[in-house]
Amino acid sequence: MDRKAYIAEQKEKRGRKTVLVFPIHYPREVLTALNVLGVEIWGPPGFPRAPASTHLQPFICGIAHNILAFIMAGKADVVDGILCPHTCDSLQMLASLLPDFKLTDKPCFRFRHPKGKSPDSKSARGFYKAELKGLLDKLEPFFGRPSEAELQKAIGLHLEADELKLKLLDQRAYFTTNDRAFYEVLRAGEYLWVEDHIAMMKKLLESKSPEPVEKRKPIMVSGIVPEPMDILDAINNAGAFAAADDFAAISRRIAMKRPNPDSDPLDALTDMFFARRGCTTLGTELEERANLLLKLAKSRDCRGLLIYNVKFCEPEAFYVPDTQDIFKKAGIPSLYMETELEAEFSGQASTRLEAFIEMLEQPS
Amino acid sequence: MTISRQLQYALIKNVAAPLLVKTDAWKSARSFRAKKDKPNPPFGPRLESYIKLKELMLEHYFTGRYADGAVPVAWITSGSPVELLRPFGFHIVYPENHAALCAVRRRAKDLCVHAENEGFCRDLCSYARTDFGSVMSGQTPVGRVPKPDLLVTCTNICQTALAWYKVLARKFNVPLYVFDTPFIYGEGEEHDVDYIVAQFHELIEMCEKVTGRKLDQKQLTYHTQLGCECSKAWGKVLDLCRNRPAPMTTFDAFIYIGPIVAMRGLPECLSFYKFLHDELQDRVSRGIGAIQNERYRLLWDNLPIWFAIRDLSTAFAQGGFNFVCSTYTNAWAETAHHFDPNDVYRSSAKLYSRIILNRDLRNKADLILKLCRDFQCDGAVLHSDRSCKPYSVGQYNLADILNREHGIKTMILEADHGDPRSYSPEQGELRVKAFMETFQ
Repeated sequence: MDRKAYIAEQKEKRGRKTVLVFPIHYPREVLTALNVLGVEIWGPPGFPRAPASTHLQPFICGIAHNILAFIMAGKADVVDGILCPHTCDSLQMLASLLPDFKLTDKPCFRFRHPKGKSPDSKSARGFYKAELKGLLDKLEPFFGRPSEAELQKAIGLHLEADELKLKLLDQRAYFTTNDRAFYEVLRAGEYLWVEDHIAMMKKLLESKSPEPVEKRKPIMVSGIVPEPMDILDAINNAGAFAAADDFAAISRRIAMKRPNPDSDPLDALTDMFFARRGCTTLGTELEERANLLLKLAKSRDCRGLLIYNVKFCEPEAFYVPDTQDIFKKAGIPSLYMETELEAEFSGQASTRLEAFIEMLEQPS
Repeated sequence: MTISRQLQYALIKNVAAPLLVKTDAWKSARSFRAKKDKPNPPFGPRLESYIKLKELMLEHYFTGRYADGAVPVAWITSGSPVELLRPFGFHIVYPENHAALCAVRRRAKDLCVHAENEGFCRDLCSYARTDFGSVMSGQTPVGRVPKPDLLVTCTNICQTALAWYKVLARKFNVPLYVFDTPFIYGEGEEHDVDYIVAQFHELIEMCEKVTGRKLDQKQLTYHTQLGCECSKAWGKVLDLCRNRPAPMTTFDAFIYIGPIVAMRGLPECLSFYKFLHDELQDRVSRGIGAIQNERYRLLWDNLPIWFAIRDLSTAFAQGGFNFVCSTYTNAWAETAHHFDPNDVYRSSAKLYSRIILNRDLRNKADLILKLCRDFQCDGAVLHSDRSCKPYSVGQYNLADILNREHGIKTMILEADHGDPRSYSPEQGELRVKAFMETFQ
C-alpha cells in the first residue's frame, strides 16, 4: 500500500490525523500518544522543483528544495499540520519561510533541540524537557493532550521498534534480502503507525537464517538518507552490502540506552534523546563520533566506508575529512559521494562506486 | 604560561606595539593630510577615523602574535558573549574577522583551496574554509595568529559555527564551549532565557578552569556594561546616516565594524566610536556626504562581499547611489536596548539571542521595512550569500514583499562573502547597471 492510501486508511479506519514531519530528530512518541500519524518527508525525489526554486537559492540542499516542492505541488494537502525540528540552518529557515510567507495554510509546529551538548549537560536537558512541554502545549489545540499513561505506552512501543531496528541492523548478514528491501522495511517507520512497523520488522526478523548468508563485501554506509534508494542497488550490484549503518534517517535516531521505566514520560523522552548515537546535526564531538563509527565498522568486519551526503549539507560535510582520516589510519578506505536527490542514481556515480568496491578486500 | 613569554608579551604590548602604532599613525596621518583636500570622486572627503581604525586593528593583531603562552587566548565567534571572557584576561581572536580580513586582502581564495585540498568541501562556508586553510598552512596576512587555549562558539549566528569549531577543537585539542541560543520565534520563550543564563554560568566555570582564575563579578559587570555602551555608540554612528546626504556609506561601515566585532567591551572600542561619531556629526552639520552626489539611498542585506567592496562601492557611487543602512551592520546595535545592569544575565540572554540571524523571517521583514523607512531608502540590494544560508533563505520572498507591497526596488546579487570564485564580477557589474537604470 502506498503512503497516500495508508494515510487515508488510517484517517478513515482509526480516526488518526496526520502530521508531516521534517528530518531528523523529534519526539515521535508524542505524536503516537496523541493518536496522530507522523509522516516524515526526507525530500523524496520526483516532484517538479521549479516552484520551490523561486523561494530557495540553488545552494540550499535538495532536502529543503524537495520538501518545498512536495508541499507546493499540493502533496501535503491531506495532512493536518507540519512539524519542523530545528535540524540545520536551511530547515530551520524553511520552518520560518513556510508560515511567515504563507507558503502553506497548515499549522507549523517548531521543535528546537539542544545543539552540541553532552548528555550530562543539565542546562540542555532542562531545555529539551521544556521544549517537549512547549510542543505539547502547541499541539493541544489541534490534537488534544495525551495522558501520562498514553505517553508511557507510546514510549514503550517506540522503544520496542528501536530494539527491533537494532536487532535487524546487527544481524544484517543473516538475511538473504537485498539492501533495498532491507532498508525499505527499516524506513517504513517514517510513515507507518508504530505497531504496523513493529509487525513488519518482526516478519523480516523471522526470515533470518541461522548462519550468515551474505558473501558480498561488507561496507559501512553513512550519510543523511539513502535517496534515491537506487544507491543501495548500486552497492549490491557492485558486490558489496551495507553491513553497518550510520544514516541519520535510520540508526542515528535509535536510543542506545533504555530510560528508567519509572521515569516521568518527559524525563524518559529526554533520556532517549540524549541516548541517541552521535549525529552531525546534533553537533556531536567529532572524534568521539568517528571512533564510534570505527568501532561499529570493525565489529561488522567492514572493508570500506561509504559517505553518501546530500549536496550542500553543511553539518555532514564538516565531519567528513576527520572521519575519513580516522578510518584511513585504521586501514579502512572510504569514499565520499554527493547526491542532489535527483530521481535517479547517475551512471557516473555507479561507476565511482564500482571502482571503490572493486578495490576493497574480500572478507576472509 | 611561561615567565619569558609573559615578559615578551608585556614588552610588546606596552612598548613595541604603541611604538609601531605611533610610527604607522604618523605615516598614515602624513599621507592623509596630503590627500585630505584632494578630490576623491565619486566619494566625499576621506575620513580621519580610518587612521584610528588602522591603529586599533594593528595593535590588536600585532600584540596577538605574542599572546599565546603569555596570556590565555580564546577563539570565539562574532555572536559569542565576549564580555564574559574579558574579566579573565583572554586575548580574543575572531576567526570570522580574520577571514574577512583575508578576503579584503585577496588572500582568502588560496586559503580556501588549501582547506579543500585537505578534504573540506567547497560548499562549506568560506569563512570556515579560510580559517582552516590558515590554521593548516600557517599563512595569514597578520603575521601570526595565536593558538587558542579555549574555543567558544555560539549558534546565534548559524549552526555552521558549531561544526566549524568542532573541527578546530580536534585540531588544537583544546576545550570547546558550545553556547547554544535557541532560534527565536516572535518574542521567544521564558525557558530560552533560562537555558542561556545557565550556559553563562557554565561558560564562566570553564573560563575559571582554563585560566585558573576566579570570576571577578565587578569586572564582569564593568565589561558587560561597557560592551553595551559600545553597541549603543555603534548604533549612534549608524544612525547618523539617516541624514541627507549620509555622512558615511554602508561600505565604510563594513570596514568600521571591526572594533565592535573584535573589541566589544573594551574602552578603546568605545572611544573609537565616539571619535568616529564626532567626525561624522561634523560632516552632517556641514552638509558633507560620503559620496559626492547622493541621488538615491539604498539598504544592503546580508554580509558584505569583502573582496568586492571597493568595486561595488565605486560602481554605485558613480551612479549617485549611496548605501545608507544594512541589516548586517545593524546587527551589532539592534539588541543593545535589552541590556539591564541590574539583571546582567537575563538581559544579556535576550541581547544575545534576539539578533536578526537568530529570529524568524517575519521579524527580518519588519526590520528591513523599518530600516528602509527610517533611512528613507529608495531601494535594496540583497546579497544572496552562498556561504551564509541562514541569512540568505527568505530573500526571494523578502525582495518580492519590498517590491510589490512597498514600492522599494530590489536586486538580488548572487555572490559569496569570502570566496571570489563564487562571484562573477562581470555579471555583477551588469546587474548593478541594470538595477540602477530602473531608477531613471
